[in-house]
Amino acid sequence: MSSAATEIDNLGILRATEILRGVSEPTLEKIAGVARPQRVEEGETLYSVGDPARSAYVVAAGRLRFILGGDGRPAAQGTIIPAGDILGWAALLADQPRRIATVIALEDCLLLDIDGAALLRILDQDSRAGYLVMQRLAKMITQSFLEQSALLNGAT
Amino acid sequence: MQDAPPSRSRPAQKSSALIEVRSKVSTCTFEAEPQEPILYAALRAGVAIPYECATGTCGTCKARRISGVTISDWPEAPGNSYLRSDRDEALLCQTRALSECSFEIPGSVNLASTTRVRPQFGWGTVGRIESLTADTVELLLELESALEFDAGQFAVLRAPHIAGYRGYSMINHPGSSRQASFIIKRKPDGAFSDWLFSRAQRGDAIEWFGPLGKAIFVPQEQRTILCIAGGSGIACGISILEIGCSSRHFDHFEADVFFGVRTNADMFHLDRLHRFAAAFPNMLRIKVATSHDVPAPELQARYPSLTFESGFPHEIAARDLAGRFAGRVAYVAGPPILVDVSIRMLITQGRLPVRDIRYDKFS
Repeated sequence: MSSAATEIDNLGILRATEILRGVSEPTLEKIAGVARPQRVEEGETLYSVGDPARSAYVVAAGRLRFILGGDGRPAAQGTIIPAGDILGWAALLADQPRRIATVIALEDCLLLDIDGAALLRILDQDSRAGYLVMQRLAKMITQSFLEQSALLNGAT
Repeated sequence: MQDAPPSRSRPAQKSSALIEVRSKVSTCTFEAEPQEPILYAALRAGVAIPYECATGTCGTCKARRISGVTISDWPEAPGNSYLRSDRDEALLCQTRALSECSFEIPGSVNLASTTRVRPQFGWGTVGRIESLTADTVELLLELESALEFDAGQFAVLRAPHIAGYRGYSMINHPGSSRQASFIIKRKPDGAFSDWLFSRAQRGDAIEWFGPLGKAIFVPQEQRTILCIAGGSGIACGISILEIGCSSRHFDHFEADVFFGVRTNADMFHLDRLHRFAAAFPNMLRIKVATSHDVPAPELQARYPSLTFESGFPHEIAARDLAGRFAGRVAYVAGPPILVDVSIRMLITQGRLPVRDIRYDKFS
């Protein structure tokens, strides 16, 4: 894992991120200011179960695999996270101080590492942006529960 | 999937191919026979290529081909979604070598095996197929050579005229045995389970490869046990209970088992579970959970050592054991989604360390 070169266009990446769609340009600029580009090589672990959940990550390039169960063992139901998605959103939730999954790069990836506390402070200052982001976060969590419920009910 | 040749013998050594596999931190070489998946050849040789299902679903054994000629046994394998075709990546559990080959696997994987028993190929014949429910049977295989395994492990099976291997847990007493029993659920459009349910007969040949899997229980660990199993996943739990009972493990260490099924009609092996629990009252608790039904009232009277409740087994476990997870080693088996949500519960609510959560996913 390494910090990426400074020529990375943080703002351009954030503009293309679904969860931030509609957020005002000044707020995006503030987020870009706290975002740190990070490269993760194929096969490398971004974080593991039990790690402190300090940052959320925007995927600028590459694909990662979200794995329940940790210890580096992929799961049959592992989710692929493509470019344009956000992961590690436990960093935005007050009661989730630790990671509950492991994330491994399926290929060389470029991410933006955004400190969760800093992002929440920025969203505090722009209630519309905060509402948009939290609304989409709630939708993602709800969708995850609905998919889980459907799979459980169909499991035999 | 391509049809496999109906041979019962493995090809001669002279036709094997030299395979090199390297990660960032180690390199290993081994021989692979033309008819065996490269993953299986590696595991036989004690090379610890990462794997989970060993049957083309999970994508764990992904590798990049550097050189050599290979053939895929299952180009449509679900695990291929984790691959990039433009980078010549392959699932080693579905790839056979037609020449000397070299592969690179991602990450800093130590390829030195630490398993107690190296898996091997063997043949068996169908000894008995016992119907457990409308869509579940127990298959008894009479083995030509002994299969040595630990409680909780699984093997992959293949009928000679049906392509591909399928993973199933051994349910019988672990050790070194010339018999192996498996609980097998009929899969929609599943060629192997269709054959087993409708056409297989006593004496029919089945090839096996095993033991596989990391969700192992050995009594020497001296741990309190939690087991959450759904459907045919209880095979893993029963194997653990077999060795736990015979070794008198439950004289000293408690165990809680949550066996989930959809309806009353999907319950099986209650007599067996009842005998386990009756032998260790207050120490071994077994609860049967029905997710889509209310447990029939007569069950409690018939099996007084078991308890019955409506709900999903992981949810009932979370409630029953609230505040009492610490120190346990948890085993989880069954449909992948049940394994996922159980693991999540054990991490978030049970606060169990990951090293104490054991599972294998090979559905």
